[in-house]
Amino acid sequence: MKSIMLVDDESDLRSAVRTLLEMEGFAVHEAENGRVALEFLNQGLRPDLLLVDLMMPEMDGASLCRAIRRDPLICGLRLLVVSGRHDAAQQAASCGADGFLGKPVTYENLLAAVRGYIGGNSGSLGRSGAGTGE
Amino acid sequence: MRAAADAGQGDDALTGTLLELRTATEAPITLPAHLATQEARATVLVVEDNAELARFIAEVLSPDFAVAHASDGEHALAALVGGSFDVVVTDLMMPRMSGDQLVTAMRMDPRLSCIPVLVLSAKADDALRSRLLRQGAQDYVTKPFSAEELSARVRNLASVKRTRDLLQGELASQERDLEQLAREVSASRRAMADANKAMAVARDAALAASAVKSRVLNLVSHEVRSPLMSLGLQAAVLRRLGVADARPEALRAIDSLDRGVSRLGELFSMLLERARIEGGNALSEFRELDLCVLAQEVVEEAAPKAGGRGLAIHCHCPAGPVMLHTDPEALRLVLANLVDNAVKYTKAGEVTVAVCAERDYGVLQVTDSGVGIAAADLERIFEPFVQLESIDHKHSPGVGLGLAIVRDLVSALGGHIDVRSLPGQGTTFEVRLPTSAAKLPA
Repeated sequence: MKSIMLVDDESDLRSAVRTLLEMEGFAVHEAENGRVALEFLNQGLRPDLLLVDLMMPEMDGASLCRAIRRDPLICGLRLLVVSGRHDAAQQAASCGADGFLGKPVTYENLLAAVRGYIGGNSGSLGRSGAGTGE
Repeated sequence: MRAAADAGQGDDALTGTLLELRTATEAPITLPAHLATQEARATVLVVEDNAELARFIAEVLSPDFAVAHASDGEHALAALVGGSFDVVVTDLMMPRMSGDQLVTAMRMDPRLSCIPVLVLSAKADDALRSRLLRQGAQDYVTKPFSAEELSARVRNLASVKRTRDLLQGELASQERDLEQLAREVSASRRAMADANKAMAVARDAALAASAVKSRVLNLVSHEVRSPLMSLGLQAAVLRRLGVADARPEALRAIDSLDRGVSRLGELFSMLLERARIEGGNALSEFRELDLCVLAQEVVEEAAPKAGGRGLAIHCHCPAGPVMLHTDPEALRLVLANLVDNAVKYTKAGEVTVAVCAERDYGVLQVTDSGVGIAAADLERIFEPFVQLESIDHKHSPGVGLGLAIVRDLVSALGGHIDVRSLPGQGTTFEVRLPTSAAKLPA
């Protein structure tokens, strides 16, 4: 079973995404900020994909991505930035994420993006555009 | 020669034309009022211890000059310092201070150094005369001299002196002008420095304000978009959980929730985009782009929505690429907005996107078969918050920011947008963009 870690300070958003992704057969972990996510990873958790919000208390998403890319044990993790910031693309590119989704993302687009990264289904990423954040 | 006392002050013959200088024991001389005020007449100081000779000289000169008399060098010096003389006529051999001593003293005093001196010399004084001329006396007459010769020589000297005074006055006033100019230059330099300082302060304030605005934009953007996304996903959760015992009312409620979320999302994106453009952050990166590829992508994306409204949507492109150096994201937003508008305001028929190349321009045309826009309204449609439907009879969603954003973006890309419309037949928006934009993003 593929696993996904949701890193977002908005608990309602986490619970909705979690419910939907679990319905699709993914295992889902939640972290309310970058620091908590990093603790899980240091304890040995290795999700197949991290969905990372940018603006969070304690440790923001860009810092989390950089910390992951610096650590040889976890630097290979797939990171997808999910943010409503207007400069999300640049932020995602500069912190080493594999791509970004601009909030608000519809369920269909989210699922397509997730499958594009870790599922067998690499179908269209849709209009919300999971890009490589170049 | 006789003693100085001979030049008595009660000598009536000299009154009026010759000012009798007082003896050494008395106070310094002042010029009579008529001399001080007669600026037109040159003034001559005669320095002569022989009263008769002095009187003779005064008589000779008085028709042309205001004449004053001193009986020796010392008196003369005091008179010269206190008054204003154009020419000094001096004897050589005098008690207390001789003529040559007077000349030397005058040439050492900057106040007197410019007054010409005419020496009355005796025939035997050749060597002394030469020395005096070297020391700064201007001219001489040899006793006995004729009245005409004396008068002519004094006139020459006076004229030289007056000319020189005039030139010096002119020079001084020019110096004053220069000083004034220098003062003005330095004042304006100071003013400019102050203005520069004020400008720097204003610029810093503007930069700070811009940074604050950018932070606020990001924060608001995050704070609104996260719950919006959450709402949309919750609706999706409801829809999927409810599939088993789907009651039509529940599904309709979920549809309505979805539509609301989607409209809010679009509206919010518009408002943010508008704020971003107003903040001068409209453009990001310029790249090479094929207008045809962009047009096809945008048309493909709009196809489901157009199909849903029963509209056909086409894209007409030339065989080859139409390359532009531009900001792809900004241009995509422009075209997507125009196409979205066309689909939104067309009830039946088709929407066409056409691309063509024209010398230094790439041209995009978006044509619909909608209701069209009245000529009177064409000017207003690019203004922010203008919608042609009255608010009470509004059928189409939106706040009227789309075209304002489009116009601002096109202009930021160095291009131009035009609109033609025939009410009842349709509307064409035409965007012309330079193939190599001279305007680079900040």
